Amino acid sequence: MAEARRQLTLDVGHRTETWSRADFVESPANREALGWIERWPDWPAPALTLYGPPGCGRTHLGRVWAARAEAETMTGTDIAALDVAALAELASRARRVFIDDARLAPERGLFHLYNLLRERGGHLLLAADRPPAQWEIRLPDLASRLRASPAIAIDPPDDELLGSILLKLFADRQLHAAPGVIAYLVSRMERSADAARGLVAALDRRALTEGREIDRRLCADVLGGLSNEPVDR
Amino acid sequence: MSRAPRGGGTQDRQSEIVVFAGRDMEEQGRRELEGQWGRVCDRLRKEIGDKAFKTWFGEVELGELKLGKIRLYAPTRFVRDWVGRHYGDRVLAYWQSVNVEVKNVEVNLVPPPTPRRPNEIIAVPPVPSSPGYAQPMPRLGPAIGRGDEVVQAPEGRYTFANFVVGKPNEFAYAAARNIAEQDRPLPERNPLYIFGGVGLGKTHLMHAIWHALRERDPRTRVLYLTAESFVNKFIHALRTKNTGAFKEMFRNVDVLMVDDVQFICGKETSQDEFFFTFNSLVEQNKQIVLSSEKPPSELHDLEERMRSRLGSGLVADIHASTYELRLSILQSRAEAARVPVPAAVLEFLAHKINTNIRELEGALNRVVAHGQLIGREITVEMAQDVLHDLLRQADRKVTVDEIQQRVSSYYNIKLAEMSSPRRARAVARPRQVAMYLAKQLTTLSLPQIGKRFGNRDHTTVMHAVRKIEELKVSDNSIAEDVELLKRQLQG
Amino acid sequence: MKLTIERAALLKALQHVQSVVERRNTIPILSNVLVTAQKGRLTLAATDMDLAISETVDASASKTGATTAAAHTLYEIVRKLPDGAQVELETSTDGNTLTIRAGRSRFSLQCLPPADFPAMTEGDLPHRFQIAASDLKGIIDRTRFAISNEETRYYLNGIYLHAAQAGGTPVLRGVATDGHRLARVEVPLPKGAGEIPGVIVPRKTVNELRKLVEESDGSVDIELSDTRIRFASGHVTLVSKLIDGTFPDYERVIPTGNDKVLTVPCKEFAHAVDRVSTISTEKSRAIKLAVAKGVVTLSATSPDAGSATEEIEGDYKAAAIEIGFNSRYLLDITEQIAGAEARFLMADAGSPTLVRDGADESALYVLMPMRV
Repeated sequence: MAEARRQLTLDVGHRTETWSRADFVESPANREALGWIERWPDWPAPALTLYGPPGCGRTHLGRVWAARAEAETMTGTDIAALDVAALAELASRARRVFIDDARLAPERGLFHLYNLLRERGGHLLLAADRPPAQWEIRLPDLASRLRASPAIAIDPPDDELLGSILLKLFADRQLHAAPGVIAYLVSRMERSADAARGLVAALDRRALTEGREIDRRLCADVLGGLSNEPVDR
Repeated sequence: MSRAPRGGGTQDRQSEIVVFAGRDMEEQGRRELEGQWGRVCDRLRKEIGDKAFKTWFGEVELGELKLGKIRLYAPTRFVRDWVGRHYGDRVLAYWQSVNVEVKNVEVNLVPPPTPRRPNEIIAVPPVPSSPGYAQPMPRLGPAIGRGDEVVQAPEGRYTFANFVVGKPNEFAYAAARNIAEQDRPLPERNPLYIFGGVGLGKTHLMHAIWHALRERDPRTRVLYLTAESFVNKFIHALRTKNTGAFKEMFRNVDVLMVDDVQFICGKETSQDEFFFTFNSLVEQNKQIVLSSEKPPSELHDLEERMRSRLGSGLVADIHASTYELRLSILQSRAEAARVPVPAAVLEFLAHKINTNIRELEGALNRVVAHGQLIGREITVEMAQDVLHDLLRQADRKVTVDEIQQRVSSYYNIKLAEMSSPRRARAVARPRQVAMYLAKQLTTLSLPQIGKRFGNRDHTTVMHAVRKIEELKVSDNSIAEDVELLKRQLQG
Repeated sequence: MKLTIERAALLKALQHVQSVVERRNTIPILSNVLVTAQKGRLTLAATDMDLAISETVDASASKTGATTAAAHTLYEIVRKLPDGAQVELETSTDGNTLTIRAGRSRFSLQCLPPADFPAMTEGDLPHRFQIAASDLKGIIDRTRFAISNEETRYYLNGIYLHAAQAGGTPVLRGVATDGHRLARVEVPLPKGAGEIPGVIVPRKTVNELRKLVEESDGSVDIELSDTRIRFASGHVTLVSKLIDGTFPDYERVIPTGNDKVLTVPCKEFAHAVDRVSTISTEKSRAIKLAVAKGVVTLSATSPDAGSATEEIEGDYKAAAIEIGFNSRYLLDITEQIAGAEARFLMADAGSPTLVRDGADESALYVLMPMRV
């Protein structure tokens, strides 16, 4: 840090990220996945999986679909808490379910939910870091159902997408970044959306602590010190 | 609605504090402005392409022109920032070309209106089973079911006519047809127990029997359930203390079909209830059809008396598919879908997707749907692309070391040249290719990549990436080299 | 247009109005004040496009009409005229010049047509209430110091006004924070303000508004929507855009369980802080408080300047604690405290400290410590 004496900051938090379609940036890295989301309900199977590295936008895209399809949004761990009757109730009520971090869902629960939704003409959207074919599923019925449904890759962000991710992260935190900051960061940071998230959090904190503008100088300071500094996410 | 006035002055209340000197915009002025905006949009669309235009300007609305300043309204903070940053200058320049009075363009945020009711924007998905199927199915009494829940309607697409018969499934097929055509159940064929591995067509046969029976005599009461829904309904009946209605559901059934019966095993109360239902129906000489992953003898969680009872009728198995069967299934599916799929692609799929029929059909569906979505011709290469998650074991993480090794051996130069200061074309170009690949295939930052190539600056990496991107367009052999290396590295 | 007005009345109105006008303007007409003569009165108006002000004063107009002229110049002219002078304003027939006459002085200013003067749209202002000028003053004075100056954080560049419940009593709250400290002031909820949306009033508007209420002992009429706010008091009206942002959920940073309570005589404490901080570096302004039973030791050290300590008596019964603060921030807060005593409620050296006026529960301050 620049100084041992350091002003601490109030944790006023920031607005949560927004998940609207208008805020989702299309790029070659996610174009196909977006195509499938917009194609719904014309899917060739009751389920569809979006996969890609952390922060590639699979959650955002899942939320876009959930809004479009009026789907229930939950995570894999939520499924673990539901018994068969609760799953049946969910399938009857929601008909469409988006499961984020789907690899955390118990196989049996996922299997039941798949069948229950299929019986009702519903749909299941899964988001994970890898395609179901690489999940090491022990329940053969589940494995074959998921393998028979589309698994769509979202690639790590290209420069344009990375820039827009940064811009969105700044906007989510209601921060004005000086002109040129985005281009400066894109050509010097680790090129993943997760890194972008950590970086913007670090910039926000450093700017608030030191009462500084978010400009290239601050970016240089933060990029230089990032490896030594814990990044809160 | 309490939002900032958007457009013309008509809704503006005249301010008391500032004296208006006439309306800024009369009706005609507004029309003119909209015309100008239309022209600006046309030029923008031409320059940045339809897609980008729709993404960024699709929801941007024209505000007003005041004091040489055009105000546009963006739907979100993010779109506002993006449009302002990327297109602000261009919008201004275009606008000035149609109206010299414009000195400035400002993008503002539209305050969110009251949230739209979700049903206004939702497309209702088609229900896959037509109401015709649902109608004759027994409905659950209100005490058991919840409202309009219908016991599963078998899928219309699963019929005998589209069941592709081959060596591995011909016996099960014949047994199923027999049941569908018999006038009354024969004890030696009751129950019919079909078993086989996952995704080989058991459910297809079950649904086909259902359809055939209903076709022969629409009055036949056929109840088809998965083991899961049997268990669900039973548990629900127990919870709501209404097992009477549950039993009632089976009393007047002519044929009972239970899919994936292995899921009843291990659940003792449901198992007992199922056994009870089973026995009473057999006593009444009602046909029972069951499907399972395993033969009755291997249902280890089941009581012995139950196991022998399930195996007491006709037991038919479906074997793993053969290449020939897979190919003829694919041919028949492609034909039914009226999509021309090249024979080479069908052969490729029949060869590669050898796990089971469900995955095979799923793979074909994925390929066809992808073709429609992207508007791409169906080829073996494209199928490989679409199904790469199934065909490849795991996505490998490529390292800079691997890239440097692969590239230097490909161009036949020493590995050390990757980090040497030499700038001769013969080593500089391969080095640039390697830098380009490092940027494409890893998430390392450009300064980090530079460091791995003999401590070079990140601007050198940027230059290399730009250079290769240019060459890929102008020089076919570079484009091929890069593609080939990329494939090799990704395994 | 032709009118006559007493110099003092014109000067006072011009002073209010010209302070809204930015010193530098790319659009010439924004440097101007709109002068409108109507029967028996004169209206002056100015705007920077985000904030608009207008004021009406009595004047005898022999010819009604309107013009615009450079605000700062006009103000300077009137300011330099002798007290008690009668000022005459007259536009030329072609409307291009405004002539100012008083005694033997005569000025001629270039004009721009009043039709070009921008009108600020208010839109529909569905909420309307009246607040005592003293209450509004109370909110502004005790929160203004905590407004953030960083353009980066535009959503903190103002005072957040909203209706809330304080222990079951409805109140109108003003809140400001810059991420290092926070001020929250409550006044009884004015009738009609219960349903207002939470709005962020920009700093410049707050400052102009403060000048306006300084001279008023009556009440201020407020009307607002979620994008605009309008203040009217006497003959003056302000219309301002609101900050287009979401104020943070500030309640989460107000500590509720701080049990280390220190009570000090406020003035004495502030003087001690001021003296000791002379030593602390210009940049950090750090000062350390060592609090023990009955006594607070303030200290500061600087590698360049040296060190300082001072002890003052205070009421404190909890376990001893050492905690650092920015001395500037401490002084900012103690300045707001009107009562004899200031109460500090602390948890530890890394958590927010609550500061209250010993005699007044309507204001609350949160101060984040400094690592020293």
